[in-house]
Amino acid sequence: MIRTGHNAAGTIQSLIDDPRAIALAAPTRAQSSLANIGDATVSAATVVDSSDPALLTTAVIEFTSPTTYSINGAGSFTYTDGDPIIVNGSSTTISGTPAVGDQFTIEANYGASGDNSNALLLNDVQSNGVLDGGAISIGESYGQLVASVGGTAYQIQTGLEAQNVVYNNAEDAVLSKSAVNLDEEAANLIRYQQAYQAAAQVVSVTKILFDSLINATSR
Amino acid sequence: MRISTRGAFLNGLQAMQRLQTALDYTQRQISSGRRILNPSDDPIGSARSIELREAISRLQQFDRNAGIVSNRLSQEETALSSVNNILQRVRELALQANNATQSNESRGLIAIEVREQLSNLVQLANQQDGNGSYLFAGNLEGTQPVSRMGSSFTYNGDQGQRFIQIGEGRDVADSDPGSRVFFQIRNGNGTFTALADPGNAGTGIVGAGSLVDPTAYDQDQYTVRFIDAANYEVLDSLGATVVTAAYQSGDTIAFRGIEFSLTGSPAAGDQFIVAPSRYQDIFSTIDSLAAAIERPVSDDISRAESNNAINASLLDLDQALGNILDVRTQVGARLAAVENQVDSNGAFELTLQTTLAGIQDLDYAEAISRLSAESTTLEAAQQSFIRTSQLSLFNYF
Repeated sequence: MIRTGHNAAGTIQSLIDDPRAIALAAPTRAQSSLANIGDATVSAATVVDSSDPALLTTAVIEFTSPTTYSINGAGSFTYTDGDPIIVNGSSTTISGTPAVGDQFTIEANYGASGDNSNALLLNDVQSNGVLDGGAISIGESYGQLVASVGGTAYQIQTGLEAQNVVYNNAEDAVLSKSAVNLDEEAANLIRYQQAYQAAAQVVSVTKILFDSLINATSR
Repeated sequence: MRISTRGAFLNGLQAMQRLQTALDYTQRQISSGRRILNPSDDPIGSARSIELREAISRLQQFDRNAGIVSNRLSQEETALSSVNNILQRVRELALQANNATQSNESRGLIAIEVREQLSNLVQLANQQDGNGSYLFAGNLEGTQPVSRMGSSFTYNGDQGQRFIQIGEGRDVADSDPGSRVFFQIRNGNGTFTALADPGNAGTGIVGAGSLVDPTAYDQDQYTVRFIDAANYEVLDSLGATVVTAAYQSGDTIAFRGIEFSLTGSPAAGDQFIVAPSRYQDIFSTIDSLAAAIERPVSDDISRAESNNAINASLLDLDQALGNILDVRTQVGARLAAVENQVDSNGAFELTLQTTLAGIQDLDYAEAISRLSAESTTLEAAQQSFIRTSQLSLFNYF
């Protein structure tokens, strides 16, 4: 008999006991400098490529003109209001009108014990399509499993009841042909008994006849 | 068809067993209160009730979340209300100190109270909620947000906001970072500051300014320099002349879409610097105000200097008050949104519970009448079985 996982419960143990060690925060954050003059704002950073080796390094976006910016002092990129900017595997969106010299920083999210961005994403797993090639969620899949098992069980029960009826009919047929009916036997018993008594009377009548004959022929 | 004795017994027994099975099923339904005991009783209904139970437990969690968010937002609202009171008080003190009837000693006392209010404000900004997390530190909840070194104030938190889910697809922020509340406040009138150069020898006093034509405004640092007591020129940051004009006390100095008024008598060589508004934290504003109030006034020139400094601080203070009002309005709107969501969640949960009950709960009236019908039938079957099984020819032998 194959018993998969029957020892699994005994091996469960707790590895962390500090709630802050649970990875519920986003890996990176985006901040705007408090010395900025323009009114541009930056959105929270989301990770788009977690395998990027430079994910946790700091990147400074500085505006060299209202429509161009450099990253860590190098390059000249065109700024479009509201377009995502992807640096070191993190994506953020700057909107509004930046001034020359305004800076925005994307850095590792150390110390952010109050951040719950990763928790919100984890929460979505409950309703995201993760099974069947991304089409249905875990809850829906479980519901479908229950419905399918229930449906099959119902079919089997109906089949069982039908088979029972067939069996009972067959048994009735057999019994009606071969089994004993006690009343029938009792009646037969009486009949044979009477027949026997009648036959016994024949013997006694024969005896009387013979006795008469012997008596008639003796001197 | 011929009935055998054994056949009659079997038929009677099977009938009783079938009745007992049905009776057992009904009894189990009644004692559990459920119409569906196994998924096979109603496969579609079972799947549907799983979906409904999941949706209901999500709604209950959203309600708990909404309670938590409400608590935090109420705490923040209370703190902001206290901040507002402090700022109003400081504003009153600033207006008092600006009055020419004050003496150096009385202004010294006013400055003491201003510094006292500043300490209160710093403490308010470093407030913690019931769990020991700092209210205004953004996501760096374990770090004290505002630290002070003499007259310089640093923000040690971050600019993140935490969002809590209170409904399907509905997130609400449960805090505002200290950078938004206390640090990212534009100084001056929000667009530019016009400050008198501390080395001025005249008595020119700067009035409030405003942005008149946004399309003509060029963000740059400008210097308004007085050639003599009746004429001035405006230079940009490269030294080029923008405009030259004559001056009389009370005139409005206007150029490149901005303007501000000037009263008093500036001396030759006096300068007024016009710069784009930067972020200035509320604590530095109040600290500068206290310093300006403390400065002793001995003659018209120092009085003009004092007035200019206090006026500039008043403008910054008004910006801060506006900012606090802004944040409070947002917090109030969020609290109202949470309340609305809780109401709508409650109504939705009621609908789902009703549907769920309709699917999986037992109709007791129907079940109990079924139970009594089945038990009557079983009794009849049992009694008739006994009666017919006693009928035998052998009884009469």
